[in-house]
Formats: sequence, structure tokens, C-alpha cells
Amino acid sequence: MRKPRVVITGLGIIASNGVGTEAFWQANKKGISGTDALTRFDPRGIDCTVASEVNDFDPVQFMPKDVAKRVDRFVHFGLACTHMALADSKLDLNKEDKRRVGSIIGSGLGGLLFHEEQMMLAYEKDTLRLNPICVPRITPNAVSSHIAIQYGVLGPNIVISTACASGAHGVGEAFRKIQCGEMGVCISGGVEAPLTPFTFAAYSNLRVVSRRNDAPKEASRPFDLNRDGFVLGEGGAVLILEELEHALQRNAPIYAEVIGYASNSGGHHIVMPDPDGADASRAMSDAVKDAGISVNDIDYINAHATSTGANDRCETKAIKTVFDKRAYDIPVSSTKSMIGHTIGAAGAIEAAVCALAIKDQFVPPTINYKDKDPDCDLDYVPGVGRTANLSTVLSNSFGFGNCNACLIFSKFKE
Amino acid sequence: MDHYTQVEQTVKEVLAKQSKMDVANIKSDALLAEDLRMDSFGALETAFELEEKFAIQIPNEALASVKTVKDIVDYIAEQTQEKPST
Repeated sequence: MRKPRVVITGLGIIASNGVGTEAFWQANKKGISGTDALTRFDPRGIDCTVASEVNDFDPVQFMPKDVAKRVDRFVHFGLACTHMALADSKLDLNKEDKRRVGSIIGSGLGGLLFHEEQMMLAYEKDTLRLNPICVPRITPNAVSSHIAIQYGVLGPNIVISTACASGAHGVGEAFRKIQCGEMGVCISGGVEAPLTPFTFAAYSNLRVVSRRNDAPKEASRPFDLNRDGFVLGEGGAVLILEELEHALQRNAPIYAEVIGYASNSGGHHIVMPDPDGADASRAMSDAVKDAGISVNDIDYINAHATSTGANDRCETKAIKTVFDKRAYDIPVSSTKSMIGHTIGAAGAIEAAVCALAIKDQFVPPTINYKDKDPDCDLDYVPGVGRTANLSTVLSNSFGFGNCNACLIFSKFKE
Repeated sequence: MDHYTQVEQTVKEVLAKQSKMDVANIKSDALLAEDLRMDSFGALETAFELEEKFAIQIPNEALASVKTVKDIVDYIAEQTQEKPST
């Protein structure tokens, strides 16, 4: 029996350069950076002071006040993105069999903000008399569960934690479950709220973030010769994934079709990519195979492209391994150049970018790319985006610990 | 102000904050779940705060048995009554 086809019928996005799909997409098309000097807390003693903060966001616009008060910021992002994506999809949940609607969300870190606040309070007051609802606020599954509770959906309720690839796995696993018939609709995506003192310091001390504190908007510069690490960011994206027949029956808006997904591991290192990019190239090839297409069909690659020396070099190498000489003809760009690295949200935001790129037939740019690195010599769409004929696009996500996920999207044709 | 009235005032202040109501509208016979819309998390948070304020411990059984504002006041007033010295 032929597997059901899966389409994207709604998007909800929150990022530092735009809250809401339209604001975000217009900023991405224009190459507007959302990174800046950190304002959320005093970065005393931390070498990096650049962040990608979401500042124009009021959770109570998207959820009841009582809920907003009792959940961590990463759940705020999840509920708000879901609210926007469901409205965008025009899906009336009251008319659905809610047992066939799931919620699968990626989050690399969970409710860290609340966790840290409680830890600090405990040390300050010298007592472990903690807030009685710590557990449900901190636990990573709070996000998919709160979505399920708020919207009454009764299908699979899962949080996936695969570091920087969590959001891509969220979308990919939702795609698979719809293909397998486990559900007809899925609220899928990824969220993260990592801008907390301890977490920010931890990433800084791992020496994976940029220290370009004097030029914060230029700190995230994937593939550039002088890149010195990523910019930690927050945000989220939810994509409504839906079985094609179901979407057609209700005359749903369709952004794009999800046609391929692959997930693997490099089995190499807890934070470093395989220098040959062997696992990354295998993930890309497997996603192409899963989609039943040829590598020649890929018109655009939304790269993982974190702006670290190792990732961008290895990813470029892996793209060349898969696409050979054609690698030089494919536009490759980095969403992270504008919104920093949103960890568990990144793969979902980038999947949404692919859907929007297909819908708008437009390739967003890689900003801050100025000097060519001899190891990174592809067409990175520097500075300015461009219109293009996009039928099929690839999104790469390569998480710490070699958690890899590649997704392929295509223009919807009946 | 006698001891019971003091406890009642403090309990009503805590409940007013938790349920976002005016203290004057917190009636003694109000049902916690129905009238003050207190859910299980709200009950936990309220118990936590009352324990802090009155320096007592409210065991699960006591928490499960209170239904009205008066039930809480009665319980705390009894727990915090000054014992005659022997």
C-alpha cells in the first residue's frame, strides 16, 4: 500500500528578527539580523555578551493568563507557535477526531529558566524548600503536553531532545508517524529558551559561541573566514503537518510537501562533528533516497551552518561529497546568520524557512559573509537573497553528539 | 484582633492573591475548587505559602480534607494555637 503523502498546512514562528510568520519571513528575505548585545541579565564574568533575544513577545496574547504564569518560557514559545500555526492552517479542531492529532516537539534543554531561578533561590535562601510545581515546569515534555492539554489533542504526545537537531527530528518523526498511519495531523516543531545565566555561561565556556562583542549584529557569520562561533538564540516554530487527503478534503492552504527524512549518528564525539562529514553526507543521501528523488533534484540547501569553524567546514565537505561538482551550483544559505543558533528550535525554524522559500520561490541570504574561507567555497547567497525556481529543497540539522537529521520538502503538485 | 481572626485575615489574603480576587470577596463558606477556581497546582502553591507564613507543615491528608475557606482557617488556627505552658 502506498504511504500517505504529508503536507505543511500551517506555520507559527517566533525568532529574534520577527514574531509571527510574516514578520519573520520578511526579515529573513531582507537579511535583517536579530542578534545584539545581551540584555536579559548581567553577563558578569562571561566572555560572550552577544545573544539573539526575542523581545517583542507577550505570552498572554496566545494563552490563558493562568497557564502563562505557570509554565517556563520554552512552553510559552510552544503554545504561542501552536496558536499561530493552527490559525494559519484554518484547521478547526472541533471537527477533527482528536485521537488522530498529535503533538511532537523538539527541545534540547527544557525548562532551564525556571530550573535556574529555583536553584539560585535555594542557594540564596540556603534551603531546598522549592516551589511545589518545579517538576512540571522544568521537564522537557511540558511543551508537547501543554499543547495537547490546551488544544485537547489525543494522539502521540512526544518531546524529542537531540540538541541542535531537536526541531528537525520533531518535524521528521511527525512526518514518519503520519506516513505510517499513526495520526492524520501533527502539531510538530521545536522550541528553546536558553538565554539564562548558567546556560549562557556554559555555552560560552565550551568555547562554541562568538566573542565578537563589539559588533553583535555581525557575530553570527557562517562560512565566513573570520567566523568565531555561534550566537545563542531563543524562539520556536510549529509546523502543522497533515496527511494530504485530509488537507485536500478540507481545502487547506498548502505551503509545501514533506517528501524525505533521514536521521543518523556519527558515533564520533559529544560536541565535535566528524571531520570528513561522513555522517552528515550519509544523512543527506539517505534523505534523498527516502524522498525517492535524485541529488540533481535539490534546488536549495538550508544549511545547519552554525558559524563555528568545525561545523561549517565539515558541512561544506559533506555537501560536496553528496552533490559532487553540482554542489557549486546549488544555493546554500544559513538562517542562523540572522537569528543565531536557537538549539532545539533551529531545525523547526529552518524547516519553516524551507516551506516559505518554496511558497515564495525565494532563497533567503547568509548575512555577514565577507571573506572567503578556502575550505568553504560554495554559493552561500552572501548578503542578499534572490528569487529562484525552487521545486525541491533540503534542510540540514547536525546536533551536538552527532545527532543528525535531514529533511526534504517539495513544491506541492497534485 | 483575636488569634482566629488574625489567621482568617492572612488566609484570605493568600487566597485572594492566588485566585486574583479582592480579599473582601473571599467568603468563609466559599468552596475552594468551585468558587475560587483553585486547581491542584493552585492548592499546592497555596499550601506552600501558608506553610511559610505560619511556620507549620500541612500534611497531604489535611490538604485533601479541606473544601472551604473556613476549613483552612479552622485547621491553621488549631495548629497555631498557643499551648498553655506546663
